[in-house]
Amino acid sequence: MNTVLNKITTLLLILMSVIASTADAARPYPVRPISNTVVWSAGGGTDAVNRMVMAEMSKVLKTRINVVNKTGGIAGSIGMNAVLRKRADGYNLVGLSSSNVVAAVNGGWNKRMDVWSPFIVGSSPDVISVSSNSEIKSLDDLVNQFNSSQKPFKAGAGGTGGIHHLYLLELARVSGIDFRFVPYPGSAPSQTAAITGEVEVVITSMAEQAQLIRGGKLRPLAMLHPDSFVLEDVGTIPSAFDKFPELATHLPLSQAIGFAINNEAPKEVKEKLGQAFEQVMKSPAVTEWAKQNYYQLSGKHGEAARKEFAELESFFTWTLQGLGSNKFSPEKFAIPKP
Amino acid sequence: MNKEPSENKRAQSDFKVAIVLLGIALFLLVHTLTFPMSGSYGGVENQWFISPALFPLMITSLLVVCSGILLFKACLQRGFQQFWALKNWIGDWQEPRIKDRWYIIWVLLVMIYVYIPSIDFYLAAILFLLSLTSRFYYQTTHCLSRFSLIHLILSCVLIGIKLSVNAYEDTTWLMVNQDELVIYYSDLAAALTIALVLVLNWFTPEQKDVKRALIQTIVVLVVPLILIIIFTFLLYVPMPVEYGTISNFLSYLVYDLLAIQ
Amino acid sequence: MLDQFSNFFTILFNLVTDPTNLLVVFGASFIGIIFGSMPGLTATLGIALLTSLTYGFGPDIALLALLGLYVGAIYGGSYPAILINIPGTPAAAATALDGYPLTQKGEGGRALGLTTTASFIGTIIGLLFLVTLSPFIASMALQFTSWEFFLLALFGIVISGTLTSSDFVIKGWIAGLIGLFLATIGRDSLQYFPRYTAGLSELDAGLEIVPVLIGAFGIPQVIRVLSERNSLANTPKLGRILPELSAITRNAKHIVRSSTIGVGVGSVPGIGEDIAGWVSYSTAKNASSPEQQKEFGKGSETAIVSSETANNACIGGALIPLLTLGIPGSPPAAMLLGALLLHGITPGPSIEIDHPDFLLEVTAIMVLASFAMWANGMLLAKQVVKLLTIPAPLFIPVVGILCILGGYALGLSIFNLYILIPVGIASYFLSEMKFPIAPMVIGLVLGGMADESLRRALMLSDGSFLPLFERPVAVILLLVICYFILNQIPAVKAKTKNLFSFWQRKKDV
Repeated sequence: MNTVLNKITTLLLILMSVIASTADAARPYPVRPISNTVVWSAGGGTDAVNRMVMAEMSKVLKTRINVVNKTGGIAGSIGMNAVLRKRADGYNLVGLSSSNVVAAVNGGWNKRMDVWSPFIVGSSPDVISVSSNSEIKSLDDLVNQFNSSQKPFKAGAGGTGGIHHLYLLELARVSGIDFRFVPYPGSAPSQTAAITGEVEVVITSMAEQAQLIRGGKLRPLAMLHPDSFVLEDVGTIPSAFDKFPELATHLPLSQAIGFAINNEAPKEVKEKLGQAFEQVMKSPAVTEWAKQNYYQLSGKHGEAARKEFAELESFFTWTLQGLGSNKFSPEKFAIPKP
Repeated sequence: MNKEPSENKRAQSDFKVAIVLLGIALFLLVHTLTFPMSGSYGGVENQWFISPALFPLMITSLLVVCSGILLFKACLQRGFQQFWALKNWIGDWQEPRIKDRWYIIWVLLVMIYVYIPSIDFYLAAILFLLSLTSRFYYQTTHCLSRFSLIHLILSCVLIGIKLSVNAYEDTTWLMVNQDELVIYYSDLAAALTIALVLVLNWFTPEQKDVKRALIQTIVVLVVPLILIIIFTFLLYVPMPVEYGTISNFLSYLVYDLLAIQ
Repeated sequence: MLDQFSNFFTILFNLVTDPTNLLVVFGASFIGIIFGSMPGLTATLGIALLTSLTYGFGPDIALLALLGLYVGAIYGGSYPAILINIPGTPAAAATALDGYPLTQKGEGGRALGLTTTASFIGTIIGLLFLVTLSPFIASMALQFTSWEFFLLALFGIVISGTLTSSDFVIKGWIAGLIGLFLATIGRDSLQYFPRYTAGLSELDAGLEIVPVLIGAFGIPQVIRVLSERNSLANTPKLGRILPELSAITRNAKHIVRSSTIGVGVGSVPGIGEDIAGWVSYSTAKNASSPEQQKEFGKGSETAIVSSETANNACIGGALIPLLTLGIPGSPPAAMLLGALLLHGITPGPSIEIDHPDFLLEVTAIMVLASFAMWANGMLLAKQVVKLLTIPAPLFIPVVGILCILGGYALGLSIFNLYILIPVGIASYFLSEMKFPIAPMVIGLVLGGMADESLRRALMLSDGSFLPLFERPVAVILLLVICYFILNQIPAVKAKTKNLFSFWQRKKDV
């Protein structure tokens, strides 16, 4: 009896594998749940954007979308590598942001961002702030104080080589102010450090700072964005571009947050995802969310999004090269200069 | 007088650990000295107090000191005796506890470093459970040598398959299988092994405890299946070998045939 | 104040009268307990999962589900810690030290009952702090600059010496140092320099705590139980699970102290449940009489009550900076922040303007969640103890599979397993040689923070240690650390005395 049992098990296994290898039903995409692997940790900005957009996408696509986090490596390289090695069948998305573009030059992996076809949800403009107990009230004060004391400002702006750090460098370059960059493991700790007075100046995005500004913990000096910004209960925050028009040569870089699919995925899949994405970006849930969280929606996908990521990649990697804080030259990956 | 031998034994083992720790700590200390102590990096100016070597240097030197103290204390209790006896390093091979210990470690190592990255998780879990329950629950005779051998052969086969049939050139034996043909061959080899083990377990003449054998077989086959179903379909945790034969079949069954979303 | 209270009870009443709410909170708490009790499934992972699932519902239901799960998961970690000596979450690791010896004595059921009540009381006291003192505690949390973070980490490392019996102090230090060393693996966060990564990009982000924890506690237990052919526990006395009021009143002062510690540790951004239990455990040990101290590590009820109360009080603490400043106090709280953002609630200083009564609503939900946890716990504890009647040779291999799956599921990384197994085997041999394992885990948890904060603090002060003595909180922490170190010295003295007397005896022979 038992040999029979075992034979059946073996046979079943073989049968199963045959079925499984030929499986992929003829019904149109998507038949199965889609999995979206976010390469940044749970609870962060990229994670929140992906969870929200995926929940809306799943309504439109009429399938479940599972959001998982796979962090680690350099600039999310481990998660990106893992997704890239999965089937390019449209069931494997990767949740990423513009901070991932430095993965190659920092030695995380050996691909360029053009292996992806991104869908850009949006970004939040950066703002430079000081603690509300500070004597500095405006960007002019900052410049004047530096000119009179010649003492460098301690500045927090997330981690080394991140988008806020690059903003800080650009501002330092055009304004001539000497900032001493103090790295923190993210935007939130640098903001806390500004409140506690550990650093004097902080640059992070409006989405991350709005609550602290409105709650009177931080005082905004200027937007690092061409347009001024109206924040309820606070008023209009002027743009730093008015004082330093030179900022416009490289900025604004938008901190593009979104998701991507393997560029080798079938055309129909990309089209279907693109249509769903467009529909979602117009939905009231997303626009309302963007308003509440101070996000500017983008909605780019396909070629336009690929172009934006290529530009970001070029600017980020070459700036890092200028700082000397990269492992490989962007030339190694044939990344053009900005 | 009675306490003397056990204390000496403790001192002997302390002495060995201290030697090993001291060696490792010294090596790390020397390695840490190569870390940059000055020079600017990433826009942050480096000084001794910002250097990435600061903290590791403190730790490794403290580790050297502490292992030194342990070594000294062990020496006081004549821990250096019988330093070279192999028996004192791996344990007394006559003791069943020592044999069991190394058997479990061997199974764990094979499971993690060979099976999980190579074959479907269900098959790997069955192999793991089978080898442990056969020795400790069902208590199959000759279990130790038989299973050790089976694992050795299967590991060689799996690594062989992984390195010879693979689309990705940069594959090393620790990487998770992605090439679906490789997964298919590996799963087949594993499934055949499981079948072989089950047959051997059931038909070794000296075994009579049918009830235990039945319980073992059921636990081994059913429990991992339940776990995998929970993890894949409720917790959305894809298995390590995502396109493994059983995982593939299960998702085909659930999503394509039953159309559960 | 009175207004607040009546408001609070109105909210609570409204919540209780809707059966859907009750169902959601009980279900979530149950799932949370399961998550907490599976090695490797953490509160963070559970909240992440529920965030997506509850997106379609209103913020009320989502909050009920998320907080219910959070409270349940922190509590659930004590199950495997007590029953099989494998802590399901880092938070429960301190509970295992004394919980498992109780199980071995056949008192697993009583231990579970005690921790259930302790967790409940801890959560409620944490909430009391949240409601009454949150502005004050939030301003205290803002006193924490890099120096204080460094001292806090140092404090955690110093207490690891008290976690071991005095005969092995040096081995405790060695284990702690190994943990600290493991924490330095990976790219350093200030300069991005790869330390001890051997060129492996998987190591760049450093070691994950949960796989190391499972390796350090789970794998040795699997090897030990199987190879020694032990059963897991004596025939469990299926006696009282219900709380013994006498035991609670006996430990009243420990409960109060532990809750305060829990709230304090929880409210400091960046560390949380992982460490609250340890701090509370060693403080309780220090505050006990010498006879009681001997019980620690051998099944002391004071010990498990202290660590579990602190773990759960930590939740209230972690919510304070989250709700008042928008700064999460612990990893699960960070995930909770993400979930709140999804529902258009941005916690922070202006929460009172945007969502008045939000703090009270959260508190009401938390009260409900604690009750759900307590009720679930009382129902479950009796059933879970029965698991111990499964023959260990059948049960433990399955636990082994769970450990492996759990280590992998966090971060979906097979590399975690490549770390888990060597750590596990090394821990097994170290514990065979009487090295305590707990200090290693504490070292790993706090090492990164100590390293980074010290260097950042020095960077800001240009290499001067002076600020250490100028900042009030820093001075207090420094004094506490000194006290703990001095407290350990008699033990060291006794040891050296022993050594010398032994030496003397040898000479005489």
